[in-house]
Parts: sequence; structure tokens; C-alpha cells
Amino acid sequence: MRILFICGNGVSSGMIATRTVKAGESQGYDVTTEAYSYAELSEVIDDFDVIMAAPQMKCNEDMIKEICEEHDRKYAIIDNYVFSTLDGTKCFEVAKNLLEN
Amino acid sequence: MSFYGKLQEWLAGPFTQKMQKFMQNPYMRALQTCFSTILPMIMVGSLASLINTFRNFWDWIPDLSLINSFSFGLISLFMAFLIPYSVMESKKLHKQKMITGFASISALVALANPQFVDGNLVVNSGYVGTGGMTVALVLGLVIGAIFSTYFKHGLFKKNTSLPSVVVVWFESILIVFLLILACMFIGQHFDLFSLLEVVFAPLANIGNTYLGFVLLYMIMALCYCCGLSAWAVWPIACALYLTNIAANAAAVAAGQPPIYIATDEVVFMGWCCLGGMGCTLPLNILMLRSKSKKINTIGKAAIASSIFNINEPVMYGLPVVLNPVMMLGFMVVSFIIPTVTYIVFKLGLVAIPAVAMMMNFLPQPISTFMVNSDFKGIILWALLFVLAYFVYLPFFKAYEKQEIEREQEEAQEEA
Repeated sequence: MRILFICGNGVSSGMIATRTVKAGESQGYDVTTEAYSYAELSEVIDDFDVIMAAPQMKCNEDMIKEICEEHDRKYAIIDNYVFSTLDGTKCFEVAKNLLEN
Repeated sequence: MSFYGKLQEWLAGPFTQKMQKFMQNPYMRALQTCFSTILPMIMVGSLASLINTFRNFWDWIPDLSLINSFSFGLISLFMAFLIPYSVMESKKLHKQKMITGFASISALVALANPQFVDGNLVVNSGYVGTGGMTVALVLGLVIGAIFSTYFKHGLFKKNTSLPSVVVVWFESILIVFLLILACMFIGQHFDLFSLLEVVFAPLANIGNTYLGFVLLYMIMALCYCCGLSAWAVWPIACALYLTNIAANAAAVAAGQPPIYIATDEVVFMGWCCLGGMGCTLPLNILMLRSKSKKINTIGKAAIASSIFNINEPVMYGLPVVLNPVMMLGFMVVSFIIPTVTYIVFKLGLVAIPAVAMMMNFLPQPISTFMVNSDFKGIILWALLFVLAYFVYLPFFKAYEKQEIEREQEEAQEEA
């Protein structure tokens, strides 16, 4: 399961990315993640299965939606509280649900 | 609904939608993409400068400032490529985006009116570097507009029997030929670089005044606390900051004192972004000591990032974003801190940074010392820290009270 995290510059989502991997692996899944800047989304999206966007990406949601629909990928904007508390478990749940539904 | 509630609703709804629309037009996006993508090139130069500061202590370290010439010193070329490329990409013209970028580089070099001497191409180094950024920016946007319209419209009928590769070739050859011809002509008869400098000088002058300095910061802060990426206004700020630090470096090399305060080194690395934009490190500390469970938890989770000046966890966790009480505190701090910083530098109490570094993620006050090697800068930093702490305090307390009341109500309901 390859999860792509995007935010302004790839830095602030890096932390929740690693937590999410840990949460996924503790549940027995094979998870890999990378964190990129939203500017690079269209270049890297094909290498991933699902997209998780940091809360500050709300203002760029239309662009994200467009690119995801073009490349047939599902995305979610991480909830503020989940993001701030670095809740990898919650985050992984959302990603998993997106892929399975 | 209370006024407070209505305000929150408007901020999160219609206001955000309008700003989203504005920020997502292809040209704004191209500018944003440009600076965030090119940042590593600037930071390569910063690393060289960083190593150079250590030469003050250990003089066996070689002088690496030439690295700057091959990274930061070519920034206009990179911008010239990337801006129209991004515009073309936003408009989904993927077949022609590369050639557009290349054509833009050709255009920039042609405009710089280089000389051919003894088999050498002699270009003004400033024009492909920090001195050409305004031209590259304007040129990139203009080429982006022209080329995207041209390619969208096309030269041939839609159902032409020619293979699409050939169509792209013919269309590209024609417009690139005309573009280079035009730029050669302009470059040989006008000095566009100096001209644009004069045109933009008033803006730059405003940016370099007290009001401009503080306003630029407050606009970025306002965007941020409204949930919009501060990256929206960043291209403008970045262009100003880069030109200024380059000018400072040039002044020092010529034996003059540096005079420009509005630089990334002052604002982001040194004194105006303690823990991130809006000086949230003191705020994070307040959160650590809070009696509200939610605030306390987030404070603990966010402190590691705050130390590295990444404050999204604090901004979205407390939250500050779209939270009127904290937004007010945030904006008050965003007025006071740059104000004090500017005055202190203007009075010459602390040395103005003159070396480009742009390493915003290094913890302060370490980066604070690195930008100007002046211990007085650390004293200023400490003062600003305490100041921000006490300015945030009443706003934080007001919000904390709300949170604690809410938590108590919830606890009672569950009981």
C-alpha cells in the first residue's frame, strides 16, 4: 500500500507520514509513504495508491481533486486534530477505508 | 447565531472559496510552484555560505563561495524555464510544456544581449542570476500566456491528417523562431533588465520601508491564519528578499555596509518567525502548560516541530486557523514583532545579515546567530521571544477558558 502525503513543501506532512506507516505495519499491512509538495502532485501521483493531504491543502482542494480524478486516485484531507496530534492510527484508517471502498 | 459564530462561518465559507479561486489560477500557481521547486538551488548556495561563516573560526576551510555562482547565480535561468512550464502544465498542454520552457531560457539569454568574444559567450552574470529575476518572472508569465493561447488555438485544422508530433514540431518551430527574433531585437536595443528594475523600484522601495516590511509580513500571516497557504504571497516576498540579500552581499563585497532589512534571513531565519510564522514557539510553550486536556496534548505533539519552525500542528491543532480569538492574537504578534525587529535594525543595534542562507528549518536561536554572527542578535531574539509570549498570553487565556469550560461541560454530560 503506497500512500502519498502532500502539503506546502513536503516537510510538515513528513512526520504524520512516518506515524501512519508505523500504524499500518502494526496492523500487519505493508505500507510505504512519501511526503511531497503539492506542486509535484501531478508528477508523482501515478507511483501511489492513495493521497492524503495536510489540512492547509484545503485551499488547493480543487486542484488536488482535478489531478486525482485525472489519474483515478482517491484522496482525503487529513482532519485538523488528527494532523496536529500526529495520530498515525486514525490517518491510516482513513487511507485504508479510501482504498477498500 | 452569535457574531462570533457568523464570523467563523464566513471565514471558513465564502471567504475561503474566493481566495481559493484566486490562488488557483494558473499564473499564481506557476509562481508558487516556481519558488518552492527552485528552493533547493538557493539552499545549495546557502550551504556554501554557511560553511563559509565557519571560516571565521577555522580558516583552513576553503572558500566555497563559487558554488553560489553555479546555483543561486543561475536562478533567473531556472525561473525562466519553470514559470511558463508550470503555466503550460496547469493548462494541460503537456506536449509543448518542455519546449516552452526551453524557449523561455533562450529568450532570457537573448534579452541579456550577450557578446561573443574569442569563442566565449559572455553574459552579464547578474542577468542570469539575482539581477534578472524580475525579467525572468515577467518574461515567464508573458511567454506562458502567449504560448498557451497559441498552442491551444493551434495552426492546423483539428482533423488534420498530419501526425500530432509533426504538428507540434511545426507549431513550435514557428513561435520559438519568432520569440527569439523578437528578444534579440529587444535585447540589442533596450536594456530590459535595468528598465524593469526602474519600473519595479517603487514597489521594492515600499517593500523596504517600515510599513512595507510589516505589511508584507502581516499579509502572509493573515493568509496563513485564514487557512490559506502563506505560499500565495510568498513569490512576491521571496523575490524582494532575494534581491535584497544579494544587494547586501554585493555591498559588503564592495566594502560598504549592508542596508536592506527585508530578507529571508531576518524574517524567517532570525527574528520574525520564532517557531514558525507568527512566532508560535512561545504559544506552543503556553500550550504545554495549559490545564485544558486537548490543548495540552496538542502542545506536546507539536513542540518537536515548533523547534524546527514548522508550526502547522500548532496552527491547525490549537487551532489558530479560523479561530477568531487566536487569529487576533496572531495578527497582533505579527504586527509587533516585525515592528520591533525593523526598528532595532534601522537603529543599527544589531548587524544586518548580508549572506544568503534561506534555511528556515534550522532551530532558532542557532540560525539567528548564523545569519549575522552577531551575539547582540541573540539578545534581540530572546527579547522578542518574551515579548511574543506576553502578547499571546491574554488571547491564549481567553481561548483556554473557553476550551476548559467546553471540556467540563462534556465531562458533565457523560457523567
